[in-house]
Amino acid sequence: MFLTPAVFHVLLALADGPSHGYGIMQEVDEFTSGSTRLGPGTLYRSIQRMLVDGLIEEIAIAAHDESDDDRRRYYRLTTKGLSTAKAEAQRIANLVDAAQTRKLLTKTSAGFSRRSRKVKARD
Amino acid sequence: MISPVPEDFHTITPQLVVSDVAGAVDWYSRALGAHELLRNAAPGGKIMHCELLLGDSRFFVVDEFPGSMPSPASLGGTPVTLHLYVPDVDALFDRAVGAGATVLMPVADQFWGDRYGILRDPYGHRWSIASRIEDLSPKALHERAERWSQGQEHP
Repeated sequence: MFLTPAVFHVLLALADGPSHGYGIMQEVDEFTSGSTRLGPGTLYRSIQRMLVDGLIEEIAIAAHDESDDDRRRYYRLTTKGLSTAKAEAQRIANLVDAAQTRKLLTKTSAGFSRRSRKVKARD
Repeated sequence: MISPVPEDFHTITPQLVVSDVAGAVDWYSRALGAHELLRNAAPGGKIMHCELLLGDSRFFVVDEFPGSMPSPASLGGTPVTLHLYVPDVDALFDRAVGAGATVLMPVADQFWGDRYGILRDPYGHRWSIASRIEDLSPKALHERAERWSQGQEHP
């Protein structure tokens, strides 16, 4: 299955647990250190496609606090969504390995992201 | 930053004019497996925009506006064929015909490496549906097309 970049970002955002549209946007913003912003049009088209393809499912959240929009919908990964996310992560890791072997990268992207998170935490 | 080409669209997106968007969207959903994202009504109740997802592609459906945007029903035909590649051409073709499509060319293995058939939907739009069965070079395709032409009667 071909995954658009936005779809893979949404899979990553939901790997930690269910969330709603706005939560997914915030999560992506955080783990990309603000370098990727999913706009609402891209987000909801990705969600539609992922529901149709069986990568995510909508769940009913009974209790919600007052700040929550009544129509807020929560999504979680399906088994297929989780295995698709793992396969895509492995595929990208293999490409990163190939890039390192060819001296296109000096650090692993994981090391890079940990460092930027630490900086954020100190702020 | 806003991408000038929205990520979920390919470069080309068809907009189909139909005599009845509500009926057409229902048919495209049942017969082809399309999924509606949204629809907008114009003053007077006609649908001026509806966006559907079909496989990995999107297309628009709009109600006809006599004069500027005639439907195939008003024109008495269409010069456009919408082509779909799908995993199982026979399954989708049978599903569409079962839902009321007219067969224009039954599904069969074709010389260009596709299993392929053509149908007309109840709103007058023509669709060719295919699954690739052979991966041929342009040279092989050209040779097969030549051989096919030689076997045909001249009109």
